[in-house]
Amino acid sequence: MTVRSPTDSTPAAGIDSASSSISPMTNPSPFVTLISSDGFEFHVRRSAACVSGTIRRMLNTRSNFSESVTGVCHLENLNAMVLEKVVEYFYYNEKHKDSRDVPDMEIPSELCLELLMAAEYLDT
Amino acid sequence: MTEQEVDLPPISSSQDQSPPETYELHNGRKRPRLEYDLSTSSDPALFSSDDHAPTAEDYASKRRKKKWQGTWWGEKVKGSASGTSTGSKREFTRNFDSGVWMGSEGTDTSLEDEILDELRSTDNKSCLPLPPIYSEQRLNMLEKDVVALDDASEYEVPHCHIQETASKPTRNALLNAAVDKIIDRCLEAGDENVDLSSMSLDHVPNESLRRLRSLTKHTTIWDIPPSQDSYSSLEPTLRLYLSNNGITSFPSEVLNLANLSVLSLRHNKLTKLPPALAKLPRLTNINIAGNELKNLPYEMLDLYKRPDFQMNATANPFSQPQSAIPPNSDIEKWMFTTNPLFLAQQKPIYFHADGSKANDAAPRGLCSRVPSLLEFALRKCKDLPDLMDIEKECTAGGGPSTLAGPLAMAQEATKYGDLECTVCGRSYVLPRVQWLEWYMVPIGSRRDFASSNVVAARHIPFLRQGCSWSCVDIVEVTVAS
Repeated sequence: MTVRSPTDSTPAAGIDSASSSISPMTNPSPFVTLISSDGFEFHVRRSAACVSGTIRRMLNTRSNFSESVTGVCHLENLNAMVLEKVVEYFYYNEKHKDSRDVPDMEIPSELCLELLMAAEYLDT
Repeated sequence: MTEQEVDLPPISSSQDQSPPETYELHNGRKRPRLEYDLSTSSDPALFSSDDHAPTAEDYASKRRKKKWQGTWWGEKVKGSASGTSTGSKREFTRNFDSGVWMGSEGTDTSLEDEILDELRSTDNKSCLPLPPIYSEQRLNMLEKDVVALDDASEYEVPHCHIQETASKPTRNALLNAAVDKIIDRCLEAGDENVDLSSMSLDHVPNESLRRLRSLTKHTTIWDIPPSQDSYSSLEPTLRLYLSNNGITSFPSEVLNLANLSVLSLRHNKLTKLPPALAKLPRLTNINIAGNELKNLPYEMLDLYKRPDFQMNATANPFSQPQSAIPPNSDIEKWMFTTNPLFLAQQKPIYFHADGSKANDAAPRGLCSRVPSLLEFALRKCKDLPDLMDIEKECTAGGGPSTLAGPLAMAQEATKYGDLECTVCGRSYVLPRVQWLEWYMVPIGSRRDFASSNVVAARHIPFLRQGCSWSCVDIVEVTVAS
């Protein structure tokens, strides 16, 4: 996962570069970009991001969402703090997918309500 | 009245059977006749022979002779036959039995008359504003009613049914006070039998039950010096009777009564029991007959490991399997062991992360033991102090309405303790999978059962819940439901 702050480059430029580099139908990139409401970009492995039902449906190549073509998801109702935790969960989920004893993930209590809303939105 | 006994005529049905109202203490207009002994509740004897005779007891009360005429079985109020109202206004009293406001019998003055009278009287004063419809007098009467109800609860508890007409907060306050009184009595006397049955409670106040934790038995004082075996523990074996009430949700504070040994919730309106019930360390007898339970928590099967455990669960609308339970060869052997015997299992029902039902097909590719993010967040939110407000907000439409269900589950978890996965043992908030398992379970006393060899058992459904889609424990005997 790589994070790019909005000061590095404008989000619009990020989208352009992403869309130009991907040839969507034939070979989708193994990474997708999640952009928080305050402009932070998170480059996440596609398989991990697809833990979320909402993102999975966004990126489904058979759907006609622009996200499926560009591989960039704008998550307007998640700020960077929450999205970071969400992405952490994506990787945590993927890591422990097949293990029997799954350790708990720590969630700071100040974020729990926002994460509740995020989890509801992302269907995860 | 020894020699001169006369034949009494049959009491005619047409006449008013109720005895003349002699003790209308609340009616200030009638002078109470206090020369009679008030300690007896019945009316004073009144005979035709001494009706009008000026006896020594009777000479003071001239009013009576003026008011009544005729023989004792047919006596009538003077002047009532003519039907003319004397103009004396009767007060409005509240009829406790029916809960309907009405004028006292025979009144001709209506509510409007009364209000008009009040208006006129204030007109005479001429400087006061129009009185509100609820005059001070009527407010006073309302207060009197409350006092009367209070008195009733004091004397008739625990077998009174306080009318629904009393306003809700008042009724609750009265019931709480009654519960408190009983618990006080038990605490004071060291009485282990807490009888809160037949009180028309719809919930049990947690604060009252909490005090039962501190109950201790009293020492017995011996006339003879105590021997070795006369020592006994002062720790009580609490017996709580909540039968014959209208309790709709299990009183959560009961789960904290570590000394509870007998719990009766017979004839209530419970629809589910908390799994944490099985964690009460000394519970040996539970009566949940006559409720609205469709299944029991799977954890309660653990209670049967206790040697003297008894459960009465008759008269509940338990869900039954649609197809017949396959015959089990163990049943004959089982009659002598009296442990719960597994019979059949329902197909598991899967739930999505947000608590909505998944399709029938088991979602194979998504089976993992990792809790959902919603689950993690809920576990944290469970500890928030304003959880109830958040849930209300969501149900009212201020937040996502799909969160209302999960938040309600979180609230239940704070109330009844965490749920534990029946397969892997992790604690969780939202169940992801659930199914019913039917067990043959002895009902009633197990000792009787074992000795008499009577099959007094039924197959009872126990609800098993798991924390993830992988937490299913499938046995081959599966029936449709």
